[in-house]
Amino acid sequence: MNDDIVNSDSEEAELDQLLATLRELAARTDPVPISALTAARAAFFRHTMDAELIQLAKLTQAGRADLDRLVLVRGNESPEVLTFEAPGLTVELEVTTTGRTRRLVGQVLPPQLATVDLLRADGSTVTTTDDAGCFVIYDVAPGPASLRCQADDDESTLTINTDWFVL
Amino acid sequence: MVSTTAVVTRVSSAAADYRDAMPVGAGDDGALLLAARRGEADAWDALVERFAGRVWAVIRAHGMRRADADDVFQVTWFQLVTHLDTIREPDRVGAWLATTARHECLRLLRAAGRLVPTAGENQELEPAAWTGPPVEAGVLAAERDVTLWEGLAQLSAKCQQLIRVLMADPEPSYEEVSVALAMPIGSIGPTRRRCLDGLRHKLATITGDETAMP
Repeated sequence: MNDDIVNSDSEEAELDQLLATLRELAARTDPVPISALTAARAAFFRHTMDAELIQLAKLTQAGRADLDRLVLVRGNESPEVLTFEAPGLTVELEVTTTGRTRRLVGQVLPPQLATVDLLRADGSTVTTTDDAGCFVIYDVAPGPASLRCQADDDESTLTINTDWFVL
Repeated sequence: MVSTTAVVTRVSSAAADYRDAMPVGAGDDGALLLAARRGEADAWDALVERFAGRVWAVIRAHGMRRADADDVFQVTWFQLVTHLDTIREPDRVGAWLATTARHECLRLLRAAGRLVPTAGENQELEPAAWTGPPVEAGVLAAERDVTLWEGLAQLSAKCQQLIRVLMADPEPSYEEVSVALAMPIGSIGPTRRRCLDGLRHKLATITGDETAMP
């Protein structure tokens, strides 16, 4: 590192030039796909939809750095469990991948009857929980997803959206 | 890179510390985010335009293949829309996007069993490997392009990741690099220099010419 510090200005300029060359290389051979850019721009229409009084259920960090769990999932044989938490409501989601499709087994906690929308980039699928708060959605395609849960209880009109995640 | 729009109106103290390392017009980031929050679609498009390359670079640096990279890219922007009204430091939206993209990449890598624990007390997780050049794109026509990607592929995983993030246009701020790769800000400059210098030597070896620069 000390050698680097005494590098001459010309060497520094040479490295900057190399990085500029690499930047040009990336722009030409690995650009952001047009379809991805289009989807990112189009995402803005969700802003007004989501602006009402909807609680956000955040994907918890738990498990991200859990080494025991990491060992379990190696080889991609075990389902992944995602936990989304909002004040007063938690959604647990077990994702099992089979080839190109996923099976979602979820539970709304505390257990309750609820309507669950699986939101995708291009539409949504509605399902309902049983009185234990459980729901299952089969044959789900990969890609961006989010869950919207609305309690069926007459007294509360609690609606939560989970963070978006990749299925 | 000379800043032509150095009018910095809203810079948090954390961002101000690294203002010199920030890309052109970085001071507008917060203003754009606040405008998008008010519902201005043009401001949203400008945010996408400004940060798309940097978000993509972070995702590619984590070894995401094309299809997965597309998905993570979309999720990152969906997340920004979802959190648009609640982001506390609008000026640091670039760092927010980099963090969000990184977290989703790590989640997918872990789920796919592609994360390995590194040795050491902290047991930091890092991606097993960068996937390297975008060979699936089939666009490496020029011999010079092949040489550059080959040189990159011979570097350490850490150097590959750092350089791929720095290859974004415009170049990310050191704060954005720091959160994108969980590197201390102070280590980025020296590591950048070491990695680029290492690449320069690899390229010289590949081309068989000690003085040649691609």
